[in-house]
Order: sequence, then structure tokens, then C-alpha cells
Amino acid sequence: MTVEALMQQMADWIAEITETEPPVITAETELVQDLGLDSLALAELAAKLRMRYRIKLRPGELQSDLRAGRLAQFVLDRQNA
Amino acid sequence: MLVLLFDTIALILLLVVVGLPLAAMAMLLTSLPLPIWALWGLAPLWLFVQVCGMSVIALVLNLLIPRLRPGRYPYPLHPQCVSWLLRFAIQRIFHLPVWSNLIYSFASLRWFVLRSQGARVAWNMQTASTMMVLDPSLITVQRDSMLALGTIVIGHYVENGLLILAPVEIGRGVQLMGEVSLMPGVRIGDGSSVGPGTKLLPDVQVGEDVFVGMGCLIQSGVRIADNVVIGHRVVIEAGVTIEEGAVIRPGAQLPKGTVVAKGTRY
Repeated sequence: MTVEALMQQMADWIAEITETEPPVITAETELVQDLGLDSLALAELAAKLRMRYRIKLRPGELQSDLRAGRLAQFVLDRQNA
Repeated sequence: MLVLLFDTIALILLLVVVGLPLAAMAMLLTSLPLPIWALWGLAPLWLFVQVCGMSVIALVLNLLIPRLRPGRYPYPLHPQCVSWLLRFAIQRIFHLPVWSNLIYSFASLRWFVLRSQGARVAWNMQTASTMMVLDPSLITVQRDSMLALGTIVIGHYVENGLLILAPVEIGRGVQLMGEVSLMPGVRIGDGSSVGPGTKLLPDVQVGEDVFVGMGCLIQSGVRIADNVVIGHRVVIEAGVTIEEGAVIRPGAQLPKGTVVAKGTRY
């Protein structure tokens, strides 16, 4: 799994969560400011990441840097740890 | 008559728990060669020492009173009810306004006071000064958890002439936002978060990494599996089961007995 593939997966999940078309996201897309995700949507996204990749991802960890590329890299790093 | 008896016992416990450390401090202070202004200036320190002394006495008393066991007991004459009444009278002393905010403003003091009454609480949990832990000997709070302003955790209730005692377990890294209420028998798994004003009624079981929004009412016996997300102002009636990874939309009402399947949205 690459960062780009994971970002595409996240875009599909965000579409499912917000019940809209999949957004176009780049590494610099900010999940709250650019896509308007609220705490509930972030919690749902975190739950999907935890279940799909079997990683530990606490609520506070998602709030530190919410750019899509950073988040995808964080998930992959944790999965490989 | 029983009320009068209980008040009398509570008064005696108050005299023992508060009076003994006060008398010891009075002896100590009168023997110190300090001017009166210095004694007044150090008053906050005396208050701190007083609470520590009270905790030591509470610890001894709690060791003498039979341990509380989870269960349902005829109220108020069953031996477990008497134990509970005595322990309750002692813990009420620590909730007096004189020192209650002080206790919960210092991590060390809070830990010592709660541990002296039998609570299994982590040293590094975080709490607001106005949170309230009733029935400490039935409460477990693991490390890195946070109990915010106005949170109430309680290990008992009285219903139909029975005293019901049940443990409350708060896992590692749990976040309880303001005004959350946890009733007896509630268990919250590691990494979960409960939003402001949410009430969890008796025997609700919450898995790991669950997000519960603000203003929810979760009724007795509800089972919530890992990684569930529950929106704001959701009402979940008794006996509902929510399987892993399910999502409950904001404002939803789940009738009694509903089963929300794994990974679905309700």
C-alpha cells in the first residue's frame, strides 16, 4: 500500500461518511479546513482506519496534523512498526 | 429513626476523620515557635496536611469496614448496606466544600484520597476539580484517562428496596467530557471518548476506541462493540446491541432490542 493509494481509499471513505461524491484530495488537503469534516466524521474515519489496518489510533493523534498525506504516512508507518 | 441513627454515626465519623488530624495539627502548631502571622500565612499548607491526615484515618476505617461486594441487597439492614452506609458517610466528608476543590486540584492529593477509600485509580489520570467519584471502592480508572468538569461516576443505586452495587471500570486513555454520568456496572474500554452531557445508565458496556457524541442517553444493558461511532443527541434504549464499526447517525433513536450489524450505518 502506497500513500497515494491510501489517500484514494480515504477519499472513498470520506464520500461514504459525508454521503457526497468522493473529494479530490492531495497530500496537502486539510481534512477539517478543506473538506469540512467535523469531530464525528473524523471519529468515523479513524474507526475505519483502525479496523482496516488494525492499528492503534487515538482521538488526540488525529488532531495533531490533519493533512491527508501526513495522515496516510502516519497510518502506514504505524502499520509497519 | 434509622435516619437519625445514620446521622449520628455520620457525625461520629466526621469527628473522627476531621477532628483527629485537627487536634494533632493544633498540638503541632502550638509547639512551633512561629509568630501568628506566619501561622496564618501557612494556612493553605495546613489544609493540605489536614486532608492527608484525613486520608490516613479514612484508610484505617475503610480497612476495618467489610469490603463492598457487587450485588443486590435488601436495603437498609443487610450487612453490605451497613458497610455501604458507613463508607458513604466517610466519602461524604471529602466532598465538603471546604476542601473538595483542593483535593481534585492536586494530582497527588486526589490519588491519595481516592486510594485511601479503596479506588483503583491511576496516578496520572486527569480530572477537573468539580468531578465526583462516589463509591470509590467500586471504581477503577486506568492511566491517561481524563474526567472533565462535572463528571459523575457512581457505583450504587437504590431501587424497589434493594441496594444495587456494581463496579465501574474506565479503561486506559478514556476521555469523559463535561457533565458525563456513569452509573453502576458501566465499563468503558481503552481509548474511548464520551461527549459532554452524555448519560450511561447501569450496566452499559462500551468497547475500545468508541466515540460517543454529546447529549446522548444510553439506557441500561446496552452493548457497544469496538470502533463504534455514535453521533450527538442519540437515544439508545435498553438492551440494544451495536456491533463492531457500526455508525449511529446524530439524533437517531434506537428502540429496545435493536441489533445494529457490524460496519453498518443506522
